[in-house]
Amino acid sequence: MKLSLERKAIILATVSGLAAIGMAFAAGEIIRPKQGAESPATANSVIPSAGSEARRGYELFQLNCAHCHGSDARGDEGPDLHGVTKSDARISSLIKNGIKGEMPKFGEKLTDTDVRALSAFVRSLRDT
Amino acid sequence: MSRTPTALRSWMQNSAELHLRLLMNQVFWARMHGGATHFPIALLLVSVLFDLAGFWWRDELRRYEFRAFAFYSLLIAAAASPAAVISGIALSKGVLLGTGMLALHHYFIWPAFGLLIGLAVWRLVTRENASRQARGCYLALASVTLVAMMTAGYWGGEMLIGR
Repeated sequence: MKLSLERKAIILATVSGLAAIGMAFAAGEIIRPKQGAESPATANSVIPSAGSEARRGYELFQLNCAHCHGSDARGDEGPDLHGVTKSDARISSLIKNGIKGEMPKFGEKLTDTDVRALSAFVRSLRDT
Repeated sequence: MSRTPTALRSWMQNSAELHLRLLMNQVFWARMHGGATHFPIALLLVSVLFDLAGFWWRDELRRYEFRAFAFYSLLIAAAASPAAVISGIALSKGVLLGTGMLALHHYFIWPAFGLLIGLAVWRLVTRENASRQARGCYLALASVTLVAMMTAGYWGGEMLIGR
């Protein structure tokens, strides 16, 4: 059976595309630090009870903050948020205005209610 | 004479330390990624637009020229994409999916990256020998790739914007 040029090209393109993704994933495996990987148990221990303001804050945290602070808020690129001693007003101000060159400002993206919920979540981390 | 190896060793140690520090510097990778990602996005956009023109234009010679321009834009986009991918992986410290916006970014970028490389290989192999139907399919897939890449860019920007 002789394959047409177009079909040969499709096979080659599929293999190349998958190989490219495979190589990228292999690079990720090489680059990723081996120690300090968070366990699912640790990540689950920070989830506040359903229906609370802190729970809403947790959901917002996972979408907006977890990629820097880690999904368990134990810190990654951003700092560990457990045991934060700052006031609610200071936490809200940091979320809204960010830190120049370090943390994005969320004042235009999140409503005051969202910021309050996030502050409540950060507060709830003290007890975990 | 005996000082040279010591000086060389010291220079090598300092150089290795400097390189290691650079590799661990997230600000460096954030800048590299921000710079590198725009080439594949912009070139793929140009390639799709010129391929569209090359598909519908009446004049045969113009169609050929548009397709040639689109072809080279696509090749450069594909050649530039590994730099964007590697800097992104270094920026996320090897996290290939992550959570929140990082996960949204990755849901779109991995298929887009694979498709971009695949499309470039397909064009490289077929050149001008593809049928009009195959070119139509290619254009649809290239448009999907472009949308996926731009969506990934949107979520990537959302993570960094306002810093």
